[in-house]
Amino acid sequence: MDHYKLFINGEFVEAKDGKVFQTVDPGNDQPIATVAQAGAADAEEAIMAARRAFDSGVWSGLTPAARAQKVYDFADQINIQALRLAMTESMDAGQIINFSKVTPLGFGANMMKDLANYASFKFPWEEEIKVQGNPFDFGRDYIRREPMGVCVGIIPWNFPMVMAFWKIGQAIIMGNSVVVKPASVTPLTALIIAEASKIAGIPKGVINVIPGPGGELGKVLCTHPEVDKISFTGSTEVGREIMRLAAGTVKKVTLELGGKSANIILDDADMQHAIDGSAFGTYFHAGQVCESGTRILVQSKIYGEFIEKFKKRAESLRIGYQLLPTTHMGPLVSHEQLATVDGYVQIGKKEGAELITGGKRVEVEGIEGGCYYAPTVFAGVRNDMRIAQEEIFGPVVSIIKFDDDDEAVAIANKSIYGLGGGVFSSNTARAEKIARKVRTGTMWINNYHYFGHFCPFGGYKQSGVGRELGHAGLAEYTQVKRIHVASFAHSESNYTMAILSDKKELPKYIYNCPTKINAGHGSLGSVAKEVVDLGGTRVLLMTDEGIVKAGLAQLAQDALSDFCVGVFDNIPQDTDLETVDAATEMARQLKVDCIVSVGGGSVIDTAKAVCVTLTNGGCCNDNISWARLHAPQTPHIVIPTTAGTGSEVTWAAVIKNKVAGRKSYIIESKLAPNVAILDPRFTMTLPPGLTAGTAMDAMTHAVEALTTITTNPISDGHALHAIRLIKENLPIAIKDGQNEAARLNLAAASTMAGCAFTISFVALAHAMAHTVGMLYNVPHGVACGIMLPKVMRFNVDHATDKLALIALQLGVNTFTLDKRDAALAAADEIEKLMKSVGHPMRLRDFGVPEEGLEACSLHAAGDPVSLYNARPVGGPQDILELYKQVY
Amino acid sequence: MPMIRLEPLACEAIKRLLSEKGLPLFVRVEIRSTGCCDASLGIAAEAAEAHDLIEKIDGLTVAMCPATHQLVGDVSISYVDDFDRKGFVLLSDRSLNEWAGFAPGSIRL
Repeated sequence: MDHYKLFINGEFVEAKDGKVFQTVDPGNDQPIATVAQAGAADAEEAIMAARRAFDSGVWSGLTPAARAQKVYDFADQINIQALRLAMTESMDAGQIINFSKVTPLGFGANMMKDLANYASFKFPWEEEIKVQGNPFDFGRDYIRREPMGVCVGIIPWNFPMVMAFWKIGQAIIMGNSVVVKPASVTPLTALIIAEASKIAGIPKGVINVIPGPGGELGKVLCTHPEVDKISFTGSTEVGREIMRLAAGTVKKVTLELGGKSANIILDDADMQHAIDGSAFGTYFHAGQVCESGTRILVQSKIYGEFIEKFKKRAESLRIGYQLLPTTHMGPLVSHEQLATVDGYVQIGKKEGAELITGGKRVEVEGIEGGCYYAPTVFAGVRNDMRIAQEEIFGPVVSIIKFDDDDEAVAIANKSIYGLGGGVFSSNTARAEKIARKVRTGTMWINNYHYFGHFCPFGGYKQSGVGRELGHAGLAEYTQVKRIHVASFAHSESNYTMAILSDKKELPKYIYNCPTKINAGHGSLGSVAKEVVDLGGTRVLLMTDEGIVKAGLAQLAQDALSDFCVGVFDNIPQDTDLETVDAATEMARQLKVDCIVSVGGGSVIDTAKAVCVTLTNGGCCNDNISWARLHAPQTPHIVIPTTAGTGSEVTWAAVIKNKVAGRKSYIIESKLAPNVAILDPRFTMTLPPGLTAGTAMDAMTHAVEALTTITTNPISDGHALHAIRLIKENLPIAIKDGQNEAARLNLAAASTMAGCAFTISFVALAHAMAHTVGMLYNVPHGVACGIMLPKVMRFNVDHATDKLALIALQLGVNTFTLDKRDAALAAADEIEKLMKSVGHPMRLRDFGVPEEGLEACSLHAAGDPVSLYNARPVGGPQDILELYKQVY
Repeated sequence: MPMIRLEPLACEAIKRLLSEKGLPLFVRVEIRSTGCCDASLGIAAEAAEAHDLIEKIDGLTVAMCPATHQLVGDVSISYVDDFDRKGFVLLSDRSLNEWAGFAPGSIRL
């Protein structure tokens, strides 16, 4: 009789205590081999060998491609051992030779080659994270997937060879070392596989195989601190205990446990196919398969016919010695399993199920002994019977009747298990609908027991945790590490580190203003060329009714000529999600590939949101994001008709959410329009009130960009000149709205201020303006203007130098003033300018109630832009004082 | 040697659990599946059947099917009540399988 030893650290050795056990052929009760029996000390040695091998990098340190080459050699050795493996498996586990002969090639060598190839070429060992989802700081982030370390594979007795391939193959392909404990009743093929690995040159310690008693070895393997992962296939009761033991050292655990899968036969199934499929689903390997369809649910219309035909099919199966090629069904694995199966048959009879056929042990002619049992069918089973709820793990099936598809699903789901299942039907759509509703890991339609190396397998509910095979299975053998490299390796430039510092200004900046500017009288003529350069062919013109009435929309449409395929002009003063969705729908219907917006802030913001929604799908609300986009969006050309928001160059779009009663913001660098056309003809129709209000919006952008805690020299340059241009040209434009030079300079100022605040942000004046705009509909630009001088004075001691520079830009002779007085003079000049152009100065003129100011101050304190204010805002009380000053 | 060796703690635990459920003091040792490979010995709150072997222990009646006794031999029942491990552990003269006694089980009601 052959003797098999333990495989530890690349050598075949006896157990330390010398213990040995016998393994028996269940087909004839004859012993076929003796095997060294591992104990706790052997388990310790195997684990440490695996640990040393892993830590040395002799295997884990190879590239996936290098490992794959060795795995291919290993697979070749499996091919060489194929016949020996097949015969041994049949004799040891009782598998019929017609199946065991295909296992080494199909499910062994080929599986390992396929998965090693996948790990080499397709598995994402490293992945860049293009969008981090952190808008406060920047860096490069990427994921590395690394091997787990020492993995333990505990294998059951039903498919010892296949399970050994799964546990060993997946573990080592992903760079791990592995300790495998085969079932004590079927230890041999795992040891032959180990032999093949040694010949193939898999380094010592990478694979270890230790057959021995589960109770003793299980405790060591599941609690050892050097074990990183456990993969167990076996009973739910044992799996539960393994999970509990592993929890002590927080090991990763994947479990593939029991099942009581439902095979659903619909009334439109091909009857012969359903009969044969169900027989295969139940009686393959004498029912000793976790995912077997051991509950057959048959629709009432075909129930009688199915029972009759299935009985005949079950009785036609040839039970015999497993090595005979004529045998359909071999023995059960042991007499203990035989007793268990027979015990459940007696339970089924007592429960009142109808025994249609089988239900007895079988003597095979010419064989003395053996563990044979007849294919058994129970009909008239209720789903709450023990034979329908508990896994028998033998050739016993329970047939349950159902009326409609929903009932079938309900019966299928009423089980603590969720491993496999099937649907037989001639209507794929109907079958798939059912398959989606059954809570189980695999559903076969018009098939059963079909596995594939790239198809993940595992259970829901108490059938297990995790998956084997496929990408999902391989990923279970890896850890995920994320590596971050800061873009600014400087603590003072780190926005979040600054929380622990009193210094709030950040010396770093990122200047990114990608919008091309075409400015001047007649620059509208460039629009068609810009469309071409952006790759556009079908333009949606977006505007509002006021622009249409003013004839400006037609000007733009004419300039676009044949490129313009549609006009969306229904945009309110404060745009909202519904408006964006309506415009997006029109753009989709017209198959638009470029947007041209003609209008003020609301039109431009709507267009920006449409560009994002068109590119990324869904509705506007799906695309309310901050620092999520990394790819270019639908091209966007802006022709502003106001000179204030700067929206033609900024990264933000403000969209009202009417249901939530608040404004939503899209803040993305990819939102900046591609081109802005500043043609003064488009702002000449703006009446004086709007001219002043929008100019003060731009002025506030410029002043705040200069005085936030996030200023930078480039934005400062834009902002300072914007202030000068507004100061010089606003009075001219108010007096003579047709003065093109003044209009163009105001437009340029708005754009420059937009560039400035996009990078340096805005602050308290905007927080306060946002609030009264949201609560009392005070026009945004006007609200900004009203708040601005008060906030400048509030900041005087925290932005003295910059405010003094602003005063100089506003024409104040600061050379004779001390810095603080110069700073205060800036606020005075702003107020003077506002009065000279008739800009409102009081909130009460817009219907803001005095008793509402307290609530306004609370909201403004919660506005994030207030965080950037030069002088830290102490709380709502500070803001309330300012509101009172402008009331 | 008695057919069933019932540790005092286990006996008390069984009686307590049955009383809490309002059930008579009868249990039966059975072979039951717990999913996939490897059935295990367990206890069910059931009365003895006609041909069962019976033992009375401290007010509790414990039964076992003769076929089960023939397969596994005499059975010992203990009880664990640790912080995270609670239940009945059944061992027999001839182990049902290599995982015998590894995981505690509960009474099947």
